[in-house]
Amino acid sequence: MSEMDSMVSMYVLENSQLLEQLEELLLGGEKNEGLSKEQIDETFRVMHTIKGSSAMMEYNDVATLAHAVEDLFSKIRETNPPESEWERIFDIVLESIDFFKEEIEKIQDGNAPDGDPQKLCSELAELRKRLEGEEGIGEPATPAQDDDAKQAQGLNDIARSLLGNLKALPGDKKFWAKILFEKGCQMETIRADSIKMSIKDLYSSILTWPEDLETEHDAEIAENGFWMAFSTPEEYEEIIKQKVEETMLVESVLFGEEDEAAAPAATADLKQQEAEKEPADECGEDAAQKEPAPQKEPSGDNKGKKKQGKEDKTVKQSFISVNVNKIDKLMNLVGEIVTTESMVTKNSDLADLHLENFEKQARQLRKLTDELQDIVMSIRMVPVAATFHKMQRIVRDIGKKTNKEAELVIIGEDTEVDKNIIDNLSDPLMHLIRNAMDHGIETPEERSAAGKDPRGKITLEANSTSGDIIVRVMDDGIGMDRAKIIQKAYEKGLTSKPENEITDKEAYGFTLLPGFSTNDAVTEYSGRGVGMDVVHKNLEKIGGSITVDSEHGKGTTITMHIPLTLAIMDGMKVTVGKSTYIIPTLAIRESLEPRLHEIVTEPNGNEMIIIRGVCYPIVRLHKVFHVQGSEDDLKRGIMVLVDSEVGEACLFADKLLGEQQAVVKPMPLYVSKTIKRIKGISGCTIMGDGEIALILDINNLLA
Amino acid sequence: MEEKNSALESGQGELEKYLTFFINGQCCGLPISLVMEIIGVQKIAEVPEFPIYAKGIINLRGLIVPLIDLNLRVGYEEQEYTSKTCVIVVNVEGIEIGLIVDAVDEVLDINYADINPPPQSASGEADRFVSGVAVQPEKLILLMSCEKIIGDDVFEH
Repeated sequence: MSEMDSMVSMYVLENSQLLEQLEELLLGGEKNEGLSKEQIDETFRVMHTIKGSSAMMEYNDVATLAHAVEDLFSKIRETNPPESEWERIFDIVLESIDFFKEEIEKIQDGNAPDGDPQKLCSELAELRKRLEGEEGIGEPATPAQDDDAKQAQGLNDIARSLLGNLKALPGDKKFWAKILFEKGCQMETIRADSIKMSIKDLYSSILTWPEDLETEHDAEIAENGFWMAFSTPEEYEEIIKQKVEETMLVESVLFGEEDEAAAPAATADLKQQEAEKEPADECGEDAAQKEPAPQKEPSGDNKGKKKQGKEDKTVKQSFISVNVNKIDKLMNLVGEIVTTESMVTKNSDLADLHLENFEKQARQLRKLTDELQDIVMSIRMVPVAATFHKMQRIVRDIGKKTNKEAELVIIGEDTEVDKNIIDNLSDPLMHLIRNAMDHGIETPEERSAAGKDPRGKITLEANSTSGDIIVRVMDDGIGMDRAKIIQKAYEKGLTSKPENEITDKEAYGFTLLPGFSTNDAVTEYSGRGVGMDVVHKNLEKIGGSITVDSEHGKGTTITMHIPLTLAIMDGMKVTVGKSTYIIPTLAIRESLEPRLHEIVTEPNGNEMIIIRGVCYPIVRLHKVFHVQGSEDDLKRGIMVLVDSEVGEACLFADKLLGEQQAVVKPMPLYVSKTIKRIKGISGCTIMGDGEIALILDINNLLA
Repeated sequence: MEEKNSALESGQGELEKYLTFFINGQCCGLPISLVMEIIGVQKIAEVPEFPIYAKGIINLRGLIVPLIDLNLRVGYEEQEYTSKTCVIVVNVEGIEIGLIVDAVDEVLDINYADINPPPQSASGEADRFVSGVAVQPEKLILLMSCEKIIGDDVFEH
């Protein structure tokens, strides 16, 4: 990975996290119809960070918008807007967040962020002006005038005064730097700030001109350059120089040693010195205010907050982000250890020996490897909270659009799921919540008329049972109309059962079929279905299942069963000839020993088996996979009834060996390059004895 | 990687190490740089849809490696697997594959100057896989191209 790539991925990672935090914060604030002071500061900070990092990466449009939002919040911070304005503020900031997210997504996909923030920027500016007008307070007094005056001064004075004000630790070396950015590079202040940040661990004290990098000084810096004076242990000098010179878009850097004239003053007590310098130095005032502390402890207002925020974060996140590939490798390795362990301890060489001590140690080893496996699995587990909280936004947006009121209740957000499952869960959830809001929840009037709380309620619940987690989306909306659905099913020829024989599960299950629900009559009454088959497909991709339950007038509950992980799968081992195959347990309905009188052979050779009055096609695995030397006689083999998207079928194999937890491995590269995809095989796994079994993909096999 | 070209074009008296082995009584060679390891024949899991010369996959300490029977691949008769039968596991541009050969012989320094281009008039199918012929005292070694053995289309990008 090149340095640039890693910078981009860092940028994407950090900023998406920040945006998510911010969105949650704002949605929370919206409920309380306002933001607390801390929350305003937090928003300001996030925007500042985004602005800084975007400018660093030269995503100028993103930086511009972040800058506009930041401006707005610096205004809000001062003026405390009236309640009537908050709604507008939330709307526009959330919109801006959407813009950032879109751009970040583009960046992530390797495209240039090309969105145009002009409209948002002008809206933000307008809002800011309005706040300004209302409170009648002007721009925060920027030290612009001071700077003007300073510009008039000889530039060397800047260096001298900075050095003069700088307090050095004994033995430290003092020197100054003047940095000129490339013409027209924009965001000079931020670039300057990022230079300062990049060397922040290297100096014992620093003074800069312009002093205050939190407010904009682009013009001055472009004109006169950005000045810094450091005191630092001598060995760091070179590193600092190097770092500064490496910064992007820096045109020239000038370094100078401590000015003799300023030297005696510098060693004096800082405060006193500042007091002395203040009248003489134009920038003295700023120095006293913003950077009096020679240690890295900032005491200026803005600085203080910023620093605090950082500290908060370090407390909050005792996490490190790790490349998923590394974790996958670790996972594989542990999978290996587990299989190797059983290869060793159950080695056939040891079969008839009585090895009391060996067995004791082997049991210990087993315990440890089990524990190791659990921990590695748990590393990949992430709580569903982030995904769930994203749904707040959807409820809010649709509610606003359709004039409905609903609250989203989240239960069990700490439930943990494998990372790759979470990634696949977000889309279906979004569909379901959208459906619930759009079609399920009625308007406040309708709800009142029906004797319900005008404010609807959508519950999003997660909990884990053994081996899988259950995610439920419940709404107390209008529910589905069973009779209508069944009528539709008859029309479409999906069932021929009399109505009273159709179970609720079956009836509502029809809505999951592709093309079923998009039809007018059903959607209108049932209120469900747009995209339900998409949800269904998505879930099947991750090996989950979905059931729908509803009561007309009372609401709908959609329950999803999702496996905890994709990397390990439960399956049944069957043998066919010398080969072993694994059938995913999720697909299996039952296994049976066939009796001859149940088997019918059609004239064209197709074989069918009748189980409890229902006819299923027989799929002989040895024929599909061209396996030699397998059982040919249906009477002596085993049938496994499996369920798939495309219908049910009975798989015929030689023998059922029992259950197997399989660590799923993809087929080797050679296979994917030459044959592309083997029909009916999704991957392979290494069994306890070290042999390989192929994992069946039932959907693909029967398709 | 491109043992064929490097062998033929940069022939300036440099040496390259080759692993030599036998298939169907003929001595053949592969650049040792491609060879990961040599193992005995293990239990092979058959894979449906594999070409007839690809015998299946094996578990090499957790790595799933497909096997190609070199005899079958180059068009010789299939030989019975004996205690001398070996699997040479090679890694060509990230693709790991095991080549089943009758026996492994030795590691040889072959001078580029001693490598002749493969015979033009192809008399047997085996020629397709030969990238050069190394002339050694007392024997000829057919230098095989791993890319050709695995299949050229795999390496087309």
